[in-house]
Amino acid sequence: MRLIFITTLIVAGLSAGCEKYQSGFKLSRSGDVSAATAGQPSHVANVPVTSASAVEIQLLSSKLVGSESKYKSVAKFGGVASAKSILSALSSGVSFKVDTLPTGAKPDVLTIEIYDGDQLKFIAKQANTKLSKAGSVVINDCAILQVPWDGAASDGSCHWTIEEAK
Amino acid sequence: MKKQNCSQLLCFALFVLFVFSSCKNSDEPQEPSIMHGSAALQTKLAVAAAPLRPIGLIAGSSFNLDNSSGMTITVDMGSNAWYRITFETQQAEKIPKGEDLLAYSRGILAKYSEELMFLPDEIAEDASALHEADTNLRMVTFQRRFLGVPVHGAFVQFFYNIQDDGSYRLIQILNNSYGPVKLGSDNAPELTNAEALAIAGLDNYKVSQRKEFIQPSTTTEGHYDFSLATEFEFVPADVAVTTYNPLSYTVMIDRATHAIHRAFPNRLDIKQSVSAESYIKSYILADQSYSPLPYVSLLDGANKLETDALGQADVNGTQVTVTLKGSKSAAGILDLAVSNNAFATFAATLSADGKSNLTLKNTDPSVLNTYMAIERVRTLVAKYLSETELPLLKTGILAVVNGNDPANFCNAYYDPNLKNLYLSKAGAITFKDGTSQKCESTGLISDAIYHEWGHAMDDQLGPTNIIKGNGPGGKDRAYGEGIGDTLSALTTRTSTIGEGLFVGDKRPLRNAQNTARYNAGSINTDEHVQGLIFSGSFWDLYTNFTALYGVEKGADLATNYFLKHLQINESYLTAYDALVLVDSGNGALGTKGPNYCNITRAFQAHNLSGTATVADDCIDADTSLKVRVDLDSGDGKLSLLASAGGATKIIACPGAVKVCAASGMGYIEMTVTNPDGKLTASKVNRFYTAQGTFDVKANPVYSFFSLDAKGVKVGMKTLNFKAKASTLGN
Repeated sequence: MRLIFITTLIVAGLSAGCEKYQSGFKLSRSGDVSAATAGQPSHVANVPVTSASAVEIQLLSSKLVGSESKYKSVAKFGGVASAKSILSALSSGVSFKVDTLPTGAKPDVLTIEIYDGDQLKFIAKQANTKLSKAGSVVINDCAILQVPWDGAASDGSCHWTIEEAK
Repeated sequence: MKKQNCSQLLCFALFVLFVFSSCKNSDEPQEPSIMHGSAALQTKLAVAAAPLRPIGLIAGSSFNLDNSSGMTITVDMGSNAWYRITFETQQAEKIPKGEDLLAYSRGILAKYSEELMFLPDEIAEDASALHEADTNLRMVTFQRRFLGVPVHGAFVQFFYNIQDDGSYRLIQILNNSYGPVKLGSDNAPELTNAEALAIAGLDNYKVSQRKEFIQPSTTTEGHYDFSLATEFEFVPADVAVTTYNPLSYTVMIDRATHAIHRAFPNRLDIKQSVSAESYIKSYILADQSYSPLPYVSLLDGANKLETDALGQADVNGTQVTVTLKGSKSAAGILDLAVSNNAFATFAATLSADGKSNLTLKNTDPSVLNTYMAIERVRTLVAKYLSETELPLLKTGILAVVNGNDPANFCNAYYDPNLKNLYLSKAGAITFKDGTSQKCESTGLISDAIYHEWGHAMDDQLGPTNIIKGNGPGGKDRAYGEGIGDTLSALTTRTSTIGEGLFVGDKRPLRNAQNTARYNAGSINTDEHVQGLIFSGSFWDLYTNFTALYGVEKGADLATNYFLKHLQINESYLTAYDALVLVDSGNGALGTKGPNYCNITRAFQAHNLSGTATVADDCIDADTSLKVRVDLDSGDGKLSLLASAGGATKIIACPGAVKVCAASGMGYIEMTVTNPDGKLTASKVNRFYTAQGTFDVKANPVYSFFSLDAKGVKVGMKTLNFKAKASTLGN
């Protein structure tokens, strides 16, 4: 009974999510499930997305291998934030699917946040990203940064290293 | 003020001698005696240390390992297992940043299981095994188990050094696992609580907790035996609710032989922690706070105790008499308002929860405040100087509070002959013009106490110090006053000194934040006024350091340099040279250390840097400055975050430049953002967000400048941005 109820809410949320697109990050409708079921275990909201039109996001990082039972991800794009999603194992990383982010729109920054419970552990940002229905986005290990940054060392990007001049 | 003429204080000297001779052994602490338990229990309670383990050294190369030249291995001769394996940091395998160190450590266990002599599954799964021991050190500790039962005191530990780029290197493995376990008897019956109490001989006790272990012990041949044992915690059977600090015991008993392996009284976590109130600077600022009351005598019923450096003592009762003098005390207080030959005492009621805060109202506030102020400045200086370098840290100093000499009302001084501090009681001073002003007890003005203690310290430091047989006041007097003011400013981290000397007057007597300049042709003969030239220079140095490194690190560095330079210098006119020498690591004079520009700029402003001058383009390196790419938008366009110790703002300009004007091409400001704990978090660093986009394809080199609150460049760093080979052309 519980699963049916949740799925109903998610489907309702999918249609409502596109209509209510606004700038600024908003929790998607599927995320509302946890608010509606306050007092229930948090994993209730973290259901896998199975929609055929969902976007798959692959995180190719050795540091995430085997973490699918430990971490959950949130994707942010075009001013919309997905609910926390459970991860699936890949041979060289993990993946998850989201179906509440705007697709087909203009390219934007895709932000992936990876949580251990409520604690943000990693963050990845990819500029000029375009999402398409049933498409996939690959984020490489070099873009996945451990957070919080303590400022003890400099960090470059996938394309640039930073060195102190002698 | 340093008292130079002491003839009027001869009688004072006599009673000081009397106090020391009559009180010599009266305050020694007593150890609580063991009154409970069987002879076997008392024997084990008397053993305070764990037995030494038989350790032997073996060359790493004999193991024919990869990188063996960078390894040192010691072996536990009791089990023949590897005991301690250390690696040359730079030769050890580089472990990628973000690696799961728990999993990595388990992998090493599996790889070297044969040498470590236990199976990888013989460790407890413990999420808290990873410990951040230090900024640059991570430790993983796995507790050893056998057949699901913990082996008492057995563990294996991995030490990882964090490299500049965030990667790790394994630097040490400590295998305290005792090797292969063979139980002498694995079916010994469990002990009943009654049996355990009988073995311990504790008639009026009960068992509050028990836990099963495998207990290792060393045979006479130097090998290990293992047996099943139970650890009991015994508490008094009938403890009144109001009883404070009941004595309980933890005892490990062998299940087969009923022998006691180990025992100790549980007094560790029920100590009384005593703190006391005092003024950070002055009563008139109402800036009182609580800090531990160290090294005082406590009379607890018939027991004479003493608080330790943290203000802790094993006190049974709650009604005590505090004497502001202990056997290890760095300060003793004579309250002349009460007695001229006995140390100040007062009654106090301690809290039943073991944490007591004594207020200034517990006694004469000036008496308690003087003691605490002396301890505060002594504790600060003791971080940087040893007792050998500064015997004052060990011997302590006598402070006479509520001094009643009318000629010294509104005054505080250090007497270099008697080596004590004098702090006047409340009174009044009459000036030459016939007017007079009331003043408070100087024991209520902590700034004054730090200053006077600074004179006592000054007498023991430097090439012609008093310890080397020289007379007091070896350094020039103006320098001495500047030293006192500077020590006070460094202790309180404020530049003002002496607020509240006169009743109702919050104005400071002096201020180290000043523009006083040395002028050989026009010297102010008042040493306090002349001392402002040095204290002004040093305060500028302090502000430069804190602006560059942040308050904690900057104050730490400034205090360290202040105390180190006093060991090699005798005049404020040569203080700059001494500081440059200290900064250079005591290299040849003229060698420029990492803070040369900031030191010179501070002393130059007061005309104390001699012929050395620096221009605006003399900027020290900011080693704390780091950057992180927040977003790579492609084609070399980067959004950056920065981190630094203390900069108010960071600016950046393209190229390896020393000038970075807001009107220049590519100029970018980075402004402070509060760490949110999620994306950025640090106890020591500040964070900054760029107000523009860096174009590192067009400008692969950028210079970053750390600015202080006035916009002065106090530090800089030049960074090279290099395209990764696989993405050239992006």
